[in-house]
Amino acid sequence: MAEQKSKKVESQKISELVEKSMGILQEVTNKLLGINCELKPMGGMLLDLDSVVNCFKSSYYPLKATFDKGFEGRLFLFLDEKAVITLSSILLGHGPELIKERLKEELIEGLMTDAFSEIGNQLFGGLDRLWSKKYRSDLHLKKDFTPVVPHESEEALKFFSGDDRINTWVTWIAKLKLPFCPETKLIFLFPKNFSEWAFGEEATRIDGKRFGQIIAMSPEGNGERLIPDAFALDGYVVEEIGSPKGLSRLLNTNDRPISMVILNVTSWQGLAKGWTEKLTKNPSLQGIPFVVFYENLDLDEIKEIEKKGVHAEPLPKPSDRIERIQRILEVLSPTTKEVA
Amino acid sequence: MAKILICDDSQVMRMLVKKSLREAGLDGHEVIEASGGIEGEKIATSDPSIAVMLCDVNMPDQDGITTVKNIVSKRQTLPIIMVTTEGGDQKIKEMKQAGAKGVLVKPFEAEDLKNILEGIL
Repeated sequence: MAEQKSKKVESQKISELVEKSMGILQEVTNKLLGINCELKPMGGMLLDLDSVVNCFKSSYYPLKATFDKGFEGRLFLFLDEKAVITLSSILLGHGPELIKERLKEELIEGLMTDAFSEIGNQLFGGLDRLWSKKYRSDLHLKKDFTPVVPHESEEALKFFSGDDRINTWVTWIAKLKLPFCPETKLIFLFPKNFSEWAFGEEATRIDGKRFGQIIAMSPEGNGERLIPDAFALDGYVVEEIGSPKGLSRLLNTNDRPISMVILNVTSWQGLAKGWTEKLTKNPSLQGIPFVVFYENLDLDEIKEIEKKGVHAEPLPKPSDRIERIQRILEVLSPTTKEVA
Repeated sequence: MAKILICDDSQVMRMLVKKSLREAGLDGHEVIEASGGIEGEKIATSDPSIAVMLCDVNMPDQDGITTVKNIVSKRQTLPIIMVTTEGGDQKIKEMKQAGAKGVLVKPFEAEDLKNILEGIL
């Protein structure tokens, strides 16, 4: 079983800090670019940096700042390629047609990299002012003037030190709505021990607890692990199953409480429907959260799933692993129980 | 018509300042650009017709505070406005002690730039 690496972040103070930080990031972006962007935090988790970086399917661009004097550590913002193109283009005064063309070409070049650096500089500047005023006067950020490169490039890998990879990071995901651009995400990371330094409080209240088992099934055998190893949820044991036999064997030999059942389907008819029928009737699985991740179901099929007391969650391809984990955590959250 | 010197290593930032000057109705003034602290210092101290300097703080070749100190030691009367994301009291105090006449915190609007330059030009 993979080492578990993610925990839900529950500290109220951290949630407030993130809410306020997102507010200032939105304010800086709107003022700098003269636009109406929306930034909505979706919730946080604790992850190691490799897990964050490995989850991106498209290119994400990291921005880094170091803390000055008061606190030793780093802070990261990740913006996806579409957001980088859109924000940089708006700052350069490009019109909607040119921005759409750039988005289509996925082109970041020349002055756009300079523009993105300036955007990063001003975003961190906004956070610096907010944090030193609101939390600790000795808290200051130094902006790093690093090249604008996608997360998978060699330059970006040099961006992270050995310590960064080992440390646990409070990772927040926010939905970002920008003009001319499909909805994207902003990922906001700060070191776990920063919260202890700033608030004298742990980043999570569920540390050290031991949780139950998540059963993740892909009956259509699409080959992709529903929850990649890097994303196994901390405290939960994740069991991936590809056949009904595997499930029966697990239910017969299982000595760990089941916390959640996940079914990953591309269509509803056939295997997926049959499995759902069986699983919802299985006495061992009564009252346990059941989520169907689907790619392209119609409204009647979704209603049929939900009638069975099952959460139906759209997951269009290519799926975003951070978002998938986020949704799993959201479903788990209200029913989380410590296992003796 | 006065000469305004914009000193910033970011070409985009120099473009943004020029755009704000236009939006503030100050486009009648001549704008000169420097892409670093050393170049900015050289222009500011060698061209007496420069009426005001807008200077970035974080520049790779020579930071803005050192640049201001060096200029002020040679040309005390040149008004220098720092353009920066650093808005903390301590940092602003440091910039003023170095000889800056004012501080414009980024992001700013054309109106903010106009207000700060009005008393100078």
